[in-house]
Amino acid sequence: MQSMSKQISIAQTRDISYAPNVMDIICLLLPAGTFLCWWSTLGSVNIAAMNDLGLVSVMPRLMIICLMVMMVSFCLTLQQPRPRTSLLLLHVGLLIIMLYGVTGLVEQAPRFNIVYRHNGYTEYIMRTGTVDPYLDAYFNWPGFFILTAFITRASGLHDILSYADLAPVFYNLLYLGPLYVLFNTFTTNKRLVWLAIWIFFITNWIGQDYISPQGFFFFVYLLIMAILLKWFKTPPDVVARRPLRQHRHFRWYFALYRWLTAPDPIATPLPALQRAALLVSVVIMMAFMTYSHQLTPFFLVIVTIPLIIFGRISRKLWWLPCLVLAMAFGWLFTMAQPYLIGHSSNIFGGLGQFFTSFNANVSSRVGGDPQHTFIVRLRLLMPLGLWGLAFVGAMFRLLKGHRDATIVIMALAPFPLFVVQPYGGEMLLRCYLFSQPPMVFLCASIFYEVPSLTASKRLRWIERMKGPIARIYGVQGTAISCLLIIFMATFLYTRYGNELMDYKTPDEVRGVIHLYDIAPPKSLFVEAWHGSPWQIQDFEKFSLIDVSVDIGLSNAVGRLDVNYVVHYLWQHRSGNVYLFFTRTQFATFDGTSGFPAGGLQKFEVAVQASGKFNLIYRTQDVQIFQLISAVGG
Amino acid sequence: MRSLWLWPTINLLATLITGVIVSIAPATPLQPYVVMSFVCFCPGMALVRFLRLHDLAIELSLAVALSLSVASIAAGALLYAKHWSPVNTLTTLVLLTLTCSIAQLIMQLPIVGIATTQKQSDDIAESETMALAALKGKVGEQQEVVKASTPQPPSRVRKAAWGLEEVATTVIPATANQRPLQSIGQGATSKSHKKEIELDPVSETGQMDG
Repeated sequence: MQSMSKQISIAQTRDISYAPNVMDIICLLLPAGTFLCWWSTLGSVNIAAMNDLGLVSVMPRLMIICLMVMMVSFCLTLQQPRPRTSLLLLHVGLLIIMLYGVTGLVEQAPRFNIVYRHNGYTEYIMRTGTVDPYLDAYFNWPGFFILTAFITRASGLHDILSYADLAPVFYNLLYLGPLYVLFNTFTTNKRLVWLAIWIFFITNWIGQDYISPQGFFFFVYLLIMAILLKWFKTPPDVVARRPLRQHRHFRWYFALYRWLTAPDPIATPLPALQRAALLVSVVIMMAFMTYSHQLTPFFLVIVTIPLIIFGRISRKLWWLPCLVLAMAFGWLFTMAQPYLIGHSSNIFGGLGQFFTSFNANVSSRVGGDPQHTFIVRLRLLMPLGLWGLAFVGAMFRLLKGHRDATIVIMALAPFPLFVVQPYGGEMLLRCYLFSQPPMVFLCASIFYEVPSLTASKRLRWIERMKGPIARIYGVQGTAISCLLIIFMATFLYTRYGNELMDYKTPDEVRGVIHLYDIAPPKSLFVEAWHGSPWQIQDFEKFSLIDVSVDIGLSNAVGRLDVNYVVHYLWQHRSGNVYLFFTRTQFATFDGTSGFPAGGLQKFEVAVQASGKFNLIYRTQDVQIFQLISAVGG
Repeated sequence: MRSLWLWPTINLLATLITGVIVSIAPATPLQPYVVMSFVCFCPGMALVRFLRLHDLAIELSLAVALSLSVASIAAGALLYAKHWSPVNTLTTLVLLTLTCSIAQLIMQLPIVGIATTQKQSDDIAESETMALAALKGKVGEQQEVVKASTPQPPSRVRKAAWGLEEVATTVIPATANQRPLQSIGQGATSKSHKKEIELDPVSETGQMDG
């Protein structure tokens, strides 16, 4: 394939017609047919039979084969002498539906318990027309929920659950535009751009693309970076400031400085007026970001500051990160003051606590039953594999003479935030997400930036290794396909490995809504274990206890000590007390608690047999008990 | 020329349809689709068209981001002013979109004389090219190869729309004194690399069909 493309001379290139050839038709029919085949398998997915390996355990074999065929079809299209943008776009569009729309198509209720809580925030705003910062931390950054409340009400809908299923597909389609522009600022090689985009979508397993502020503001972050790097780069004729006097002992420092400040070869000019208007647009988006999400502005700042310092982006934009910081802290110290008063130690206390962050983000997640542990280990290994390949790609590009300071800064800059703030054990995931675009670009470079090592005498030892490498690259398309298939196979486990805990049945949702309907205000709701779709409505009217976050209570559940639980609830009650069990709780308990599987079912039996609770509601997936008021006395 | 009329007209029609659906025939099954499409896209696109970016990928993305930003800021302003009203927020967005779209349509009229025709757009692009000419002295051979291998697309607007317009983007290799890591990568942009560009223009310039 590569040799074929090499035969195209410049003169021939000019004469190539735009008429589709046989391969174009194949590259159109293959993904379309594969998609239809994949669609036909959706009906045979039996969600109820899922095990702890997640969605992949109930995926029909044909469905998985279709995904693999899509990988091959994309490679085939990409390796054409003149790959067509429209066909590549078709592949990416179909892939996004197949990877991110599958749960919405096979499941009957939106996945993730957090989505139901977001519904609760939205419902509160729709019902009261206000936000209460003292009620919940989310109400200190309410912009996104104000937006969902407005859209839901203006659309005549009752809640966000009616369109929450579409969010992953919608968000990932949104990511496509900025990614395309961003990668085009890194290279002029369109094949590399499309391969990087493809790898992004088959490695984006983080799952932040549900209906959430962070999912949307990742898109805004990408867009702002794309705008800055496309139109606001330092002009190549601006000479970088020289560092202090050169000294022979610090040669590496000067080499590094030259690399960091080397001019960017790809520039796109824009008249001053349009640049100013673009900056106004960026500021509007930043304002929305600042009052909607507490974390993303800091990712934006931590990435843009080094880019500006080293002249990757025009130094005239020094005010931009300052403005973001001013807005973020301005909001924090004024509108988010209620949160700040109660959580200042959470915000600033994490500084320097690397081991706490590491424990919260990594160690504490590896536990539970063997299948869940396998998924967690795979989730830890996949980023390492991607980063390793990105490192190799970066080396290849370095040896080819590319000065990738912009890409490397974008890839590494998010990680200091992991050191300073564990963010409830999620910061490493966020760092992975924000560093993923440059990482996948470097990873894709392995196939299109094979270095020529003969130029340097010092690197001849690498040249000796080129023999087997060259043999692999003789079948470049095969090599790309193999890597994509490996990524794809891993994605199915990493993305949907926790699906048994993430998916919700309509029965569960109905049961929880029933609880909210029957309980009088000021009742205490007790979630027997983490994971149910609660906080779905009437956010401010009820008190909540999650048994899994209290060590004493969770141990009591583990040893089936109903009396301890009753005593605890009686002390904390402010009205009626309801203890409820759902299917997701059982799955989460078995998967992550560390107690023997089936322990929560036994606890439920013990609760029923204790005589201290009345069973007031029972369906297949939900059981609701009410604490008998006499037992406390 | 067509694209200059296209988006304002689409915005205008979408705004009218949204207005009709919400005010005259609310609670129809169409309402969620129409309102969501409008809120997610139209106000932003009405603003973005003033920027004349000639890059469809950025324009579409910016349209969505700006639409939702403006919607949220407008709704938030009303909420914090204790006048929460989705209807008023929607009315604000409708008026904003209408105003911008009508202004853009007026700007297309020949009598107004604002640089909006295809020829004038091309002139703008040409002036950008001339501005780049100064840089081109530093571009050297590699840039020449990139340019030479670029076939003239059938529709300039279409190519520019996907960011494939080579006129607006230039590749400038570093000069000798700017080359980093000289101790390792002496002459890192090797001859073999340059040769590869010449042999494989598709790969290096990324020429693709629109």
